[in-house]
Parts: sequence; C-alpha cells; structure tokens
Amino acid sequence: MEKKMDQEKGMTLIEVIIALCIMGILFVPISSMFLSTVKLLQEAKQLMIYSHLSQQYMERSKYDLYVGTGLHIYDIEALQLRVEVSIEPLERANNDARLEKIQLIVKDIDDTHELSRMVGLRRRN
Amino acid sequence: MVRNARLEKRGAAYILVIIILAIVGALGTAIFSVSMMNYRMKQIELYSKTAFYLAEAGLEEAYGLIAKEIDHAAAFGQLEREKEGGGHHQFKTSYTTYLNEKLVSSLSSYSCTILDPTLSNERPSLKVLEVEPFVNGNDKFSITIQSVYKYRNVSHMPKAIFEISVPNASLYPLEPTDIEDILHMRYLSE
Repeated sequence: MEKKMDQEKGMTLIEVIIALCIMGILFVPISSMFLSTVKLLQEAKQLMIYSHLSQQYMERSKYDLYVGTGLHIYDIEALQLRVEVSIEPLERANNDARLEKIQLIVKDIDDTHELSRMVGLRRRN
Repeated sequence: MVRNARLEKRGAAYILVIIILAIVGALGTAIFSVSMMNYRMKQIELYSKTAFYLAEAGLEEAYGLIAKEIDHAAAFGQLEREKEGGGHHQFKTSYTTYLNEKLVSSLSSYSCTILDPTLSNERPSLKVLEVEPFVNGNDKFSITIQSVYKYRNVSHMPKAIFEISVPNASLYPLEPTDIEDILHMRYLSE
C-alpha cells in the first residue's frame, strides 16, 4: 500500500512537469500573439495620426491664401513629428492654369526618415 | 475508492489547464483579429485620403485645361472679329463655336500629370459625364467631369461641374482674374 502511494506521488510530479511543458509550449504563441496585438494597436494609432495630420495640413495648404509657395516646415513637439509641405508651380508645358503642386511629407522630428506622404494640386489665387 | 478520487483530481488539473489555455487562446485570437481589422481600417483611411487628393488634383488639372481652352477660344474669337470686322456678336459666335467643337475632345484626350512617381505611377483619368454646349439664347456652357483615381485598391471618383460664360470682347487678352469670372467650378457629391 505504501509503495503504491509513492508511485502515485511520482506520477504526480511527472504530471506537473508535463503540464508545465504543455503550458510553456502553448504559452509562447499565446503571449507572442498578445505582444503583436499591442504592437499592431500602436502602429494603427501612428497611422491614424499620420493620416489626420496629412489631411489637416493638406487642407490648410490647399485653401489658406496666406500659405505661399516654397517649403513650409511644421514641427509638432507633442507628437515628435514634423510635417514638411512644399508648394511649387506645376511645370507642364500645355497647362497655363496657375496650378501649384503640394507635396506633404510626415517625418520624425529629428528628420531621420519619411513616415507618410501625400500630394495634391491647388489653384493659385 | 481513494484511488479513483485521486485520478479524477489529476484529470481535473489537466482539463483545467487546457480549458484556461483554450479560453486565453480564443480571447487572444479575437483581440488580435479585432486589432488587425483596426489596423487595416487605419491603413485604408490613409490610402483613401491619398487617393482623394490625387483624384481632386485631376479635377484641378481639368480646370487648368478648360482655362487654357477658354484663352484659345477668346484668341480665336478676337482673330475672327478682326478678320470680319464684326463686333461682340462675331466674337461670341467664334468663341462659342470653338468651345463647342474643341473642349470635349481636348478633355477626353488629356492625360493628367503623374504628380509623385514614388507614390504611384497611375494618372487620374478624366471622364466627361454631361455636356450642355452653348446654344442660341444660352450663354452658358456647362460640363460635368469625373476624375477617377485608384491608389492601392482604394478608389475615389469626385465630380465637378464647370460653368463657362462668354466674356466681353473688350476684355481680350484675358487675365487670370478674368478667367475666374468666366469659369466657375463646383464640386458635386461622389
């Protein structure tokens, strides 16, 4: 009877190890899934910020009469982002419509790399 | 009996682990797929805005082209007026004939500029939807144009109506501010 008890205890230990193994094996993909979810949400937030910023500055460049030609740099300290808007006349031989090309680039504030870009046209007023 | 109870308990631990892992896994998958969907939505929103401004650029170019044609038509009208020695009526006839004949074909054959090759090599395509040419007694030419742009599978097709009137012959040569009085552009809903 005592021998049997000992055997059963041993079985439980092995079982615990197996259970831990199973948990470990299954835990890795599950936790990595949670981690990538967090990463994905952060990236989505960044994308949202880029698209809202781009729209805001594009509309301003298109319709604000006081935004002239040339390069305009807007630093947004709170987001650590920089918006570069360059406005130049559209060079096209058969078009005398006084059109100007607006190129908008969202960058890191330290100017390292481009995060998103948009282009548009406006009529000079 | 004691042994049976132990066995049941051991089994319960396994089942518990499996159930907890299954629940956590299912929850994780659900949250992951929701956040994936959210990411795609934000991405499409960005593409859609990009496509929107590029499509609108097509309409702006159409405005430019029409302005150019108005300039040509006015020059033609002036030329005919001087040749025939007529007055404003002669100018108006030549001006309207020129636009009636040329405008639609020059819009249809126009290919828009590629504004930024790093973004996309596609051009906005212009479609003439409706034309109401100058006719006797009608001093307005109105034309509805749609610009279609597809950027990364997201497309936008804004429409605009352009209304052209007849300038006074004495205005020639036309200044850009005159063109703004002659040519009016209104955006329509997509």
